[in-house]
Amino acid sequence: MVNVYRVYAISMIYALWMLRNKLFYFYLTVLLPFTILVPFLIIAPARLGPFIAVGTVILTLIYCFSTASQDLAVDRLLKRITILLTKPITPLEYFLGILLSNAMQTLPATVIVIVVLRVASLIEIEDMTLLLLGLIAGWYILTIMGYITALTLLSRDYNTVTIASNSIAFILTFTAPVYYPPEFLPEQLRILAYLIPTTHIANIIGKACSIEYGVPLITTYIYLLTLASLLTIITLKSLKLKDVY
Amino acid sequence: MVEIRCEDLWKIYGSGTVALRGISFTLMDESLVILAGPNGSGKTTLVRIIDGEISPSKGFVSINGLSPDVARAKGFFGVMPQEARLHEYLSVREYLYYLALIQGLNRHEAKREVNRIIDDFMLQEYVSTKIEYLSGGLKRRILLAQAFLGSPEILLLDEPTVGLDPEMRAKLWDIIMSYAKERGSMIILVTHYIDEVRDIASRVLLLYKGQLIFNGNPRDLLSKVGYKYRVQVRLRGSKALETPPLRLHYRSGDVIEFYVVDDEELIKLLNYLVGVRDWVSEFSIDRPSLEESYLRLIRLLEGGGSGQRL
Repeated sequence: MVNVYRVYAISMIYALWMLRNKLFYFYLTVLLPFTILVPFLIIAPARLGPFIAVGTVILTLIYCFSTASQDLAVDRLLKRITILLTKPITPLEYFLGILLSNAMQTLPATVIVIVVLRVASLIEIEDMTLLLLGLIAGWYILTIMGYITALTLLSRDYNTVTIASNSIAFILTFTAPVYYPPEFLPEQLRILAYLIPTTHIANIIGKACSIEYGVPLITTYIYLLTLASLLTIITLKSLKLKDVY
Repeated sequence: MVEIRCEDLWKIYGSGTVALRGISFTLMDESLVILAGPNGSGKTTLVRIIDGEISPSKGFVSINGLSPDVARAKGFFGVMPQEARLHEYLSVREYLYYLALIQGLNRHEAKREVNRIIDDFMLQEYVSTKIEYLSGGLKRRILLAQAFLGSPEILLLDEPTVGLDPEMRAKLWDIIMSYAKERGSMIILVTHYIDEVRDIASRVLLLYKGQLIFNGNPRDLLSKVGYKYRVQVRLRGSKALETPPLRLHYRSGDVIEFYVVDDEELIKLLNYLVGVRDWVSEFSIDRPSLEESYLRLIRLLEGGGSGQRL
């Protein structure tokens, strides 16, 4: 049984740090994606513009992954997690709190990024439902991946978690074909790219904006549903909150 | 009524350090339990196992039959960890409010509870201040206050007054003691200031090198010291008292301490002192402290002693 007040309280404790540091929030969630967008638009052929726009949205969503992993590491480093570990929180409530916190932090920034891209005519939104589905899938899967990363690393000190999560975030953003279509990759690498979840999240957001990544939607749905189910089971069945120690 | 049962608890950390060695005890219907022991004796490890923060390497803990890992068991607890930081970007009221919700209260109850705690812990003038701007003593008070949210049935307080000035320490003891008297919760208190709470303690657990060396009430512990009164006599000049009436006494410079085992012996000593009053500049009588009893036990275990026997 989930206590919604508890989930809300956990989410607020984590979200308020970022939401109260407005400059840092603006930099991480809005300014950073655009500092990559602009040079990419300058150096890439014009036909890649829409892919770069989708990549920018994905980069904003990647923040869900980074915060889910690094919030836990920071809390452990600063011994703030100790108080929460002594409270009657179930692993599910804690995870839902982190998930809601990420929604509060990332989704407003993502909306701002999409609006700017739309105003700059870099994307045309053809299917709002599909776009929302892509954003929700990205938010959920990237958050749960970050959470599992933080809890399953053998060494859970802050530096290790930060290095690991930054490395994975790089793979999710730049190794996966999100700033460019998968057809740019050699065939063997393309198969590997299809195993990276951001490829499929970009595929959904791309389809919502009539940008073709060349992956059938049904394949993406099956992949993401399977992955989400697997990660959810791992989180709920295998991970205990005290694993942050 | 809550029962805490610890059965053959062992804790061996990854580094190979053995923090606990087969600790077993049951606590039921206690008001205030003092958990004491030298630094590194395993007190904090024991508290962290009881409240479910970490798991024992062997043995088990049950809280009313529940594992402390279960959220429902944690609902019995209010814990003030020895080392913990607060989410300092929140205001005092926000922090307590969110923790009250986490403790299981609804919004209405949480607001009411936070107001009560703010009053009890005299935090009224800081409610809107971000925690990061508060002094170390106030942060310590908030850390203690959060443990009392929701009136938990068990309070685990790990060195709640360490590092505080005497005035602040006295205030916090007042709060803890009045809570123990009024609420009927079981308070497990890790502290080095054991004599400051001896009058209301119902049980003392003494740890030494990971082992439980004493489990009983404070009176039993006091009896371990082996005397009922300590009479301290300061001599005039360097003249030693000849033929002191008691075998058990120590001398250090011009001060002699007599350890008196019963009232009869005390009367005998006082009569003797009246007879030699010209050589006595001052004297005092006090009862042994829990700390002395505890140190005596430790010394016995270490096979040593201190003081100069005449």
